[in-house]
Amino acid sequence: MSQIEELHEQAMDIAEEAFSAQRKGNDLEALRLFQDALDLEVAAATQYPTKRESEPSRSILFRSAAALAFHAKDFEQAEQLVSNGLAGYPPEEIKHELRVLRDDIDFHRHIKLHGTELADQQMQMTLWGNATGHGVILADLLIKRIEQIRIIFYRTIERMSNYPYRISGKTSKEITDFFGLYLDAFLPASFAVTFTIGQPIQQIKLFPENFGLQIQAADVIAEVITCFELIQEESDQLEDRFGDVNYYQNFLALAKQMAPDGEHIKVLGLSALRNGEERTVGLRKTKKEIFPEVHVALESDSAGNGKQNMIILEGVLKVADSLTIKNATGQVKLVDDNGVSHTVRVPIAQMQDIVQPYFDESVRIIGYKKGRLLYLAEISNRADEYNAEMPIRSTNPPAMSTLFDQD
Amino acid sequence: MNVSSFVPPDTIPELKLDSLTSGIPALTAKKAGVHMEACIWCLAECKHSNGVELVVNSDISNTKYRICWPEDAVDIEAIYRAYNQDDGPEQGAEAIAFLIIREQTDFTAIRRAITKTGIDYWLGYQTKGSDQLFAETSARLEISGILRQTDTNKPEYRAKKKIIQSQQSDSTSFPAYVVIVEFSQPSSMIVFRNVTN
Repeated sequence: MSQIEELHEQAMDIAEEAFSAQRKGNDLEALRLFQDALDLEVAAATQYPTKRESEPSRSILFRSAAALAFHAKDFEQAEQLVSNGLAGYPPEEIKHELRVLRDDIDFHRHIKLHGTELADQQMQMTLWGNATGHGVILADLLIKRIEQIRIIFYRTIERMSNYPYRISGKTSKEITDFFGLYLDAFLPASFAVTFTIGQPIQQIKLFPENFGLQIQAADVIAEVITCFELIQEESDQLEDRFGDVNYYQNFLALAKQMAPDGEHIKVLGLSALRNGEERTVGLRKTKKEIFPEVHVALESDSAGNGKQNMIILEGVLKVADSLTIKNATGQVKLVDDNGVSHTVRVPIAQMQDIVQPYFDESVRIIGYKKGRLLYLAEISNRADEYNAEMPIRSTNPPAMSTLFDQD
Repeated sequence: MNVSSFVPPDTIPELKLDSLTSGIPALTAKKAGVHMEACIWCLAECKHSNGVELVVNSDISNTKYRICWPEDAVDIEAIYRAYNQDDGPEQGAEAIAFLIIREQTDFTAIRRAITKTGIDYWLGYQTKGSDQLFAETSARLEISGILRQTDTNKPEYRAKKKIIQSQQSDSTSFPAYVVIVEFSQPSSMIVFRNVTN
């Protein structure tokens, strides 16, 4: 075994230990191990001269080292290692990976905690994109996400309490009393707001059937962040995490609603501190990229290749009725621009939190036909869809290089 | 058309979990050990023992293998302490997928891919033909593990999702393999996508 191979193997073994420590929640230990693995991988990568003959190994090792630096939270070195990798002759697919990594490092600068010490029961949400500047953001983009994260918090508390999925009605008063949600501060960062979940002084037994069940506000925050991480990583573990399929579909639909559009909002960051360690997830996937089956089926149908019977309807949502449940769906009426009324069946997991807020609004619905019935797959505000397709004046300086000057 | 034929039990080929240590550059010896243990955890969790049969279904054939591991090298109680539903199925499925790919194709897993590619691993030819540490990339691999399938979580559904996911790196023009592994009634589904741009 060559020296380079030996160094690389050692680095990978230590990295494996680091990921294992991270999974067990030993964040400090994981950071230390990632740093150790990084040193070894850098030692391996730098032994290759910058020549065509060194490829693909040279750029693969630099990519791997950059990823380790990213995990070790040494963003400056990560950026340097990406540049080193690109400076050689990387094959296209490795070049692509290096560029994606560079974007990740860049976005991370925008979503890391901004000038504040968070308590365990606090979480910061950061938005960054062409619609955000220093403390300036289009109000609608922010307000709807504040409401959506509020719903996600309370649904998570209910789920963690083993409470059956609530089809209608508000979150129970006990929960909102015990776990009040407060909006603390608007921070002039990319655009950041801090939430605090009130923690009951005396631990409560939330529901009679769950005696002894105790939930910490910090655990709720950790769970929300984990679920967003699993979406970003496209992990199968997300679905397995939700015992009840309604909770899963509800979370997925809300996360899609909150997701960046790729232009106005390019990244949505959630950060929290746990035992003094920062935990951050940066959601960069757009609504179309999160479990994209619906959009792929739609494109396939548009191209005449599909058999999904996918359709798009636009009009005003007139009735959102969760009381008439049939086959786990409620129904809505949509009146299109020609005044024609369409009945659309909506999965109960999407009815209350996702569809009902659009009542009396002009919406775009993506649905699929099954027999004579039309089922909802996705809903969005019609104006948002048009706005997302229209460029807006950027409030950020246009050159990417200036992004690095902010720290 | 699927081709399935009767194979006497004693002639069913073996997938040896301890052979993960060789011919799979994506795994170091240590990582290969972790993958073997995770796979054993999944099978033990589903009440299967050493030598359990695995049916591999692909577009062109159905094949059977026995999944085997060296009993003396395994401490099952330690494995139960080390793995759980969060990490077991993912790494256990990877172990099976690596062995099947090595067994049924000319490729082997050479390195892990980053998330935005929509795949888990890059594949290269088993004979790399140069003195490079890494072989040239020649194909893609996306893997998914299911501990116990349910009505809403069947291998077919998962495969559909993963095929769509793998489209994110179609620009490379490399063919893609999607491998789904189910542990409760051990089976594996392989879907091959040939992409040309």
